[in-house]
Order: sequence, then structure tokens, then C-alpha cells
Amino acid sequence: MTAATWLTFLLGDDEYGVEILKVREIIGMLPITPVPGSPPSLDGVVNLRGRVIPVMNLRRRFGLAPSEPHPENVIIVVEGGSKGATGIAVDRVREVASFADTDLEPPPAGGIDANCVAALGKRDGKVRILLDISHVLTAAS
Amino acid sequence: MDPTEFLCEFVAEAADHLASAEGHLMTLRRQPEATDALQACFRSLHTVKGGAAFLSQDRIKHLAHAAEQVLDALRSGAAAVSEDRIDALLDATTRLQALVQALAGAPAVEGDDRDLVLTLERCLESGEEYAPAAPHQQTSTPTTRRETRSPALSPTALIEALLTNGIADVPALIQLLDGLRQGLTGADPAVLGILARLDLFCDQLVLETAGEDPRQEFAVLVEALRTAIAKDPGRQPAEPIRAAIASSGRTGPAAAEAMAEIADLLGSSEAALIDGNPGAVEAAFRAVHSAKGIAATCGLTRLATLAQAVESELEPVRQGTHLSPSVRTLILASLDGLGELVAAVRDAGIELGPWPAGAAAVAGRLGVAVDTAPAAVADPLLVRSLVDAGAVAADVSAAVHSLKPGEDLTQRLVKTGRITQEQAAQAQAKVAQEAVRKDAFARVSMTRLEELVDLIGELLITQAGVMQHAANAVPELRSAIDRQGRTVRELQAIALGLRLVPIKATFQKMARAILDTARKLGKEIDFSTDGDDTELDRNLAETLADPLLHMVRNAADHGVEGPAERIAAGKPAKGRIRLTARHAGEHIMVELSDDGKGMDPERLVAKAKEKGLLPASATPTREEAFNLIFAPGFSTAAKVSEVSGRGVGMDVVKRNVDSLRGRIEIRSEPGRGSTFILRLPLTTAVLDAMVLRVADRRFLVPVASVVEAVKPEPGAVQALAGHQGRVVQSRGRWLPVVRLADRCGVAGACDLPEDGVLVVLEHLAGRLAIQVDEIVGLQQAVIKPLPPDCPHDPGMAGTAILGDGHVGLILEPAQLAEDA
Repeated sequence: MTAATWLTFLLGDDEYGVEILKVREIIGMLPITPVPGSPPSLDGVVNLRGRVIPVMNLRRRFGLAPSEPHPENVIIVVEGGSKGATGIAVDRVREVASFADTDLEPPPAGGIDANCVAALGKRDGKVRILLDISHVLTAAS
Repeated sequence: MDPTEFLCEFVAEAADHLASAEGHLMTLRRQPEATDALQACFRSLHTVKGGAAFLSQDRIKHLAHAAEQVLDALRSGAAAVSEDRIDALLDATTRLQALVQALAGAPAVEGDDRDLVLTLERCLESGEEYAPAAPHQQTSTPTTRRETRSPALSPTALIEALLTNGIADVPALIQLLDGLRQGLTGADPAVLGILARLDLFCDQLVLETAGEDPRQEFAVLVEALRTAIAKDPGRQPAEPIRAAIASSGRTGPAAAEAMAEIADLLGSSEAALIDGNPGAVEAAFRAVHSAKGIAATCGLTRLATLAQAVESELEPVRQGTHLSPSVRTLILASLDGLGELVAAVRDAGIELGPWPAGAAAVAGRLGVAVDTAPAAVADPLLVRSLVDAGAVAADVSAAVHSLKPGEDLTQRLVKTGRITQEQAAQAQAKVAQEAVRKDAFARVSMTRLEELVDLIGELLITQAGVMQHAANAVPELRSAIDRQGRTVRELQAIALGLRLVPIKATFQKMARAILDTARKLGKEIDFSTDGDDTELDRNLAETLADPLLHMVRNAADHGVEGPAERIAAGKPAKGRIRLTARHAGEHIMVELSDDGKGMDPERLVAKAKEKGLLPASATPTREEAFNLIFAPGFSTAAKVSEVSGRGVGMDVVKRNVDSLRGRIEIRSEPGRGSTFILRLPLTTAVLDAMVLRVADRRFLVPVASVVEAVKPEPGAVQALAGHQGRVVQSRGRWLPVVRLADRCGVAGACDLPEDGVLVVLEHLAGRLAIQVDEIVGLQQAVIKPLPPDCPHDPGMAGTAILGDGHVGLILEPAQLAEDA
């Protein structure tokens, strides 16, 4: 596990991180068109400047209770999925953080799908759940 | 570039080259004297061979090499263009195409290509019977000329013999030239250029079209050849050589493409060098080598000699794995220099004006002589048009060099009797015409094109948003924004137009299929096309090829009768198949007609009843009877032949055409022939759609599939006894009703059918009605597939961006019906 830079965001009170190199852009919430027959973790598709990309609802992906829409809700567009880009809908973005090797701990057994977690980043007495985003995306479909 | 990229590029390039080679071969079959086609074909195969060698694709390399040998013999006149040779080449091309496709993931081609290579070699050996059209026919001896040459003679001795021989005895002259060519294989392009010119000269002698003083011309050419051989090859070509090659510089319409090809080659090797790829030097060497070859065939002295010099410079370092910075700089500068020469040639088609600075610098460094610039400047387009109109390039060059300021080039050539008034007029007309549409070629990836189309679509949507908000706030902005909107729409039309290609390539495949079918069945078929330039979407052209191929084979197999049967029916022995294309509004019409035995509606109906495809009591109309051939399991042929009976019937054709949102119409007259009319939308990228609303969601259906939309009376939609489903009566038929809100899990939609709208859709297997809240309107929608990692209900065919920027789902009526 190298000390990469992470973009962290909130789902409820928990803080998660996605490796910044995987992030293409952060966009405000867009109107999402649900796609009949798609798995529940996918909210649907959005129009990203003329491209149609799927959007994953991370709360539902991790089995968390849905939240009320909020103006700070955003879609983080990440590279990956089988082709091109996928959006992940999160409550709000928090910060860009780096972790020294000493701040990182291996993922715990159990909890949310353990394979989805790359490491736990501990700093300032808080824990961030650093995600293996490609696994989060592939395991959904 | 990484190796896979090389491979991808090779596959794309080779496929293009092979397709055009096939086209040129078909041309040669009709017109054996089409030397332009021969040259272009040779270049294509040569390029494919080079690429295959670079990528160690030995099968492709060997087969391409064998084909190239035959083409080389044909273009040098050592063998004549004949049907069996062209057929052997066509077969080789087909195999090469399969081999190339196998690289791109198509099924591998079993076995080896020894049979084809043998056929290619044998077709050259059996060279006694020259086709009548070849100029050397009357001069050839019964044995092949390859055998009669005297290999012992040195080039110098042969040149002496040439001079002694003179031009009186043409057959002997041709033999001597042949001997020279054998002795000089791999020689400097300048030498080969003069040899080609001498060949041409012999042709002229035979055809009695040589100039006023053939003796003098011959003497100059032979002298040029002697000097060229004596000199260090490629380094210091003397002035006469340049003149000799310049006059052989035949700039056909292929020249622009040839230049684009060289520029491509140089560009990709430059990229490889900059990336520091291993093998970059080898790639550069290959590029320069191909450039040399192409330049020599186009008669471009400067380019050929400089490429030769660069090639010799690269030779010692090409195998080395380590690339020193100084060598790298030198190679890059050389590539730049060659690129400048290519760019300079692009407009005029011949080398004109002063050497470009970069090229001159490289030439100086490599010791290549740089000729001085002419005083006058000529319009490159005019020069090219003059040459195209039949002026000799050397004459034009000479005239340009001695032109007085203000003097008209065309007038000068007419006055000195170099061209006729007619040719002058022709050239000037061409200039005017070319000025209007001056097309250059660029290879663009489809992905980037699609991105462009996407972004322009998005621009239109945001523009509409701006219009709405700004125009309300600042009325003065309205007209400006309006103009902007028109520009963007025009931009969109152009971007969509970029996807269009002429249908020519597809038609060429058909020509090939007919030829093969006719050959196998011992039929004679005259195939003609019209509207080859009609453009259609690239994807459409590719998808159309399969069903069309099947129909064409059918026409040749079942449509056109054998010669005996035709004569008995009072028709000419030779059958006729005609393929035409034209635009009709937003559609393209492709018409396939034959003058064969036609179809008898009564027989079709009887057959269908016998097969149980039609109830015994049915009385179909004539049109319906013809459409029976599209029913699965229907085949009228008494015996399934090897050619068209491959278990793929007309039902597949129909399904393919339906998937392209097209229609087929059949007209047929027993004994007179059949006509199939295909009507297809110009592009598969844009859909004429009806936008439907269900609660807050919107769906699109193809307008073409909409039969009617009705607001049902209360009670019109009935539950089917004992079933979940509901039905409604429309135009005398009971149709299943699908409530889209249920199917797609939408909450808040109208519950009762009478509060909403029923839209009746037609699909391949029938009709159905879908219940929606409202019809929003019609829209031309750019179709976008659903993301590949987004599993979905098969009833959703794709997506489209709606006018407000939201994503709408496109419905697939046939799938909705399946589960109704």
C-alpha cells in the first residue's frame, strides 16, 4: 500500500476516500434517469456533456439508509467500470488528504464488503474508509 | 506507441489497403490497361507487406509478397494482365483480408497459404498467352521472357546493347530492358524511374504514340540511365535523370492519397521516435523505405533521392537497440525534411518551386544535390490540372522555369504546342472546379468523431437553455443567440456528415461476390452499378454489406438463369444484375435488379401453404405473396446450392434490414426478373423519435414504428379472461396492452387507460399498444447506447439526450411485446 492521495467524502457521518488519480471530475447533482432492470445500486444514467454514464448510489451500494436530497450532494466521476467513466453519488465532498504509511491500517474483516476497502486512514483521531473503487464498481454489476 | 497500438493501426490500415486493392483489381479485370489501378494496387500490397514484416506477421508477409511479385511483373510489362492472374490476386486479397481480420479478433484462418502462393507463382510461369489488350503481345516469344534473358550480361553491357539495338527492333528492345531490370533489382529509385520511363517509351513505340523524335528521346533516356547507374546511387543524380524522371512523373488522382500515405508513415515513425519505443529506428527505416518506393512510382525525384539518402543513413543503426541522441536528432530532422517535401508536393502533384528550407538542410547534410529554384512561381493547382489534362510534367516544369513575369503558363504551353487548346480549357475548368471543393484526406478515429457529435449535441442543449433565460432577461440578445443556434446546428450537420462514406466500397464487395458466384455456377453475368458516390453512415455501410451480399448471391444463383435456359427463353446468354443507390430525403435507396427468371406469386403462396406458413384459406395480395420469402423457413430453391443455401435465409436479411430501421420492397415479373428496393435511413446515429411521457419520465419510440395513437374510450381496454394481460382492439385486431409505468416501475402515472394515451407500435412479429400519460412531441434524437456496465431491461434499446438535457430511454417495441 503506497501513500497515495485521496479525495474524501461523506456518506452520513462516515468519511470515505477514493484515490485521487481515479477521479476525473466532481459535478453537481444532475437529473438522473432510472434504467429499468438495472441493479438497485445503480441510480440510473446521467448526461455528462453529451455522454451517457451510469451513476452508482454509494449509500445503497453499502446498504446504508437513503438520505434526503441536499444542495451539497455531488457526483464524483471516476474512471473505471468496464469502459469509460462511472459517477458515484455521495452526500458531499470533504477534502484531499494524504496519508503516511504509518497512518494506514489494513481493512478490518467484516463490516461493509471487506474487498471494497483498500485501507483505513487514521489521522487526527478520525478514521477514513479508503475504497478500492474499481472493486466497488465491478462488484455492483 | 505500444505494440498493440501498432497492431491496431496496422489492422485498420491494411484493411483499407486491401479493400482498395480489391477495387483496383476489379477495375483491372474490366480494363486491363488501367495502369493507375495497377500502380495503386501494387503500392497497397507493398505497404501491407511492409507492415506485416515489421510486426512479424509472416503469413501475411509471404502471401502479400507473392501477390506483389505478380503485380510487379504486371506493371513492368513482364507479364500481361489476364483474367487468371487477376483472379489469383483477388483470391490472395481475400485471404489477406481474413488474415488481417484474424489479428483483430476474427476467427483464425486454418491451414496455410501454400495453395494461394503456388497459384500466384504458377500464374506467372504460364505466361505464354498474353491478353490481347497488352501492348507487348505481338512482340513476345512463345517462351517466357524471363527465360530468354541473358543473365550473364552486366548492366553496362546491356546499355551498350540497347544503344546498338536502337528502336527499330522493339521486341529485342523489350527483352534487353527486361534483362536490365533483373540485373538492377533493388537499385536506386532514380534508376528504376528511368527504367519505368523506358518501358513507357516502348509502349508508345508499339502503340505508335511516341513523340516527334523518338530516336532523340531514346538516346536521352539511355544516356540518363547510364549516368544514373554509374553514379553513386541516390547521392548525385545528374540533371538529365531528373528531367527523365520528371517526365515519367504521372500524377494521377492517386497522388494526393499517396502523399497522405507517406505523411502518415512519417508521422507515425516520428511519434515512435519521440516516445523512444524500442524498434523506433526500424519503424522509421520502414517508413522511409516505403516513402522512397511511393515517391519513385509517382516520379518524385527529390523525395525519392532524399529518402534514399536517409535510408542509407539509417541502415547501419537500424538493428541497434540503443539510440544515441545525436542519431535521433538526425533522424527526426530527416523525417521533418521528407515531410516538408511531401507537403510541397501535395498541391501541385509534382515537385515545384524551391526546396523547402528544412529539406534542403537535410539534403546538404547527407550530400544530396539541391537543384536551384525557378524564377517564376506557378499556381500548384494549375500545374496539377495541366498534368491531369495530359501535359507532360517535364514540359510543365520547363515552362515554369523559363516563364517571364506576367506570362500565362497555360498560354505558353499552348503556344509552344505542348498542349492543345482543348486540354488548356480542360485544365482551367478543373482549376475552377477544384477551387470549389478542395478535399484533403485525414484519417480520424470513430471514437473522436463520436465525441465531437456528442459535444455538439450538448452545445445545442445548453444553447437552448441560454436562449430561454437570456432572451427573457435581455431581448437584444435574442437575434445573436438565434444566429449562434443556427451555426451550432450547421456544425452538428457537418459533424454527422463526417460519419458518411460513399457506398462504393460496399458495391465493390458485391461485384466480387457476383464474379465468384457466376464463376462457380458457370453463368455469365454482367454487373453494373450506379450512384457509387452516394454517401451513407459508415456503420450502416458495414452492417448493410451482409444482407446485401446475401441478396446479391441470391440474384446470381436463383435469379439469373444459366446460359442455355436464358437462350431458350429468348434472352441474351449473359445475365444482368444492376445495383444502384440514390438519396431520397433522409433515406438512401438501394436497388438490386436482375433480368432473371423472376418470382411467381402463385407459386410462392402454394409453397407457403404447403410448408404450413400460411393457412390454406389465405388469399394474400401480390405484395404479401412476395413478402413470404422473408418468412423463416421459406426457401423456394428446389435444391440448396453451395452458393446461397447456407442456412441463412431471406428472413435474416429482413431482420438485418429491420435492425437498420429500413424496409424492403419487392417487385417481380415471372420470366422478366426481380427488383429489390431497400430503403434505409441515412444514418444509424440519428433516430426520428416520438417522445412519450409517463409521470415525470420520458421514453422515445421510433416514429417509423408508430401505427397510431388513440385516446381509448372507457372500457375499450379489456382484461383477457384467465390472463394477467389486457388487450385493446385496434383496426380490427386485438393487441396486447403494456402499461409502461408497470413495465418500468414508474410511480405516479395515470392509472386508467382513458386518462392517458395508447400508442400502437408495429414490430417484426406484430403490433402492441403501450399505455402512456402523454405524447410530448417528435424529436430527432442522436442515439447513444446504454453504458456497457449498466445491466438493463432488454426493452430499453438505448438512450438519447432530450431537449432539456435529461436522458430519455429509447424503447424496443419487439422486446416489450415479447413479455406482454
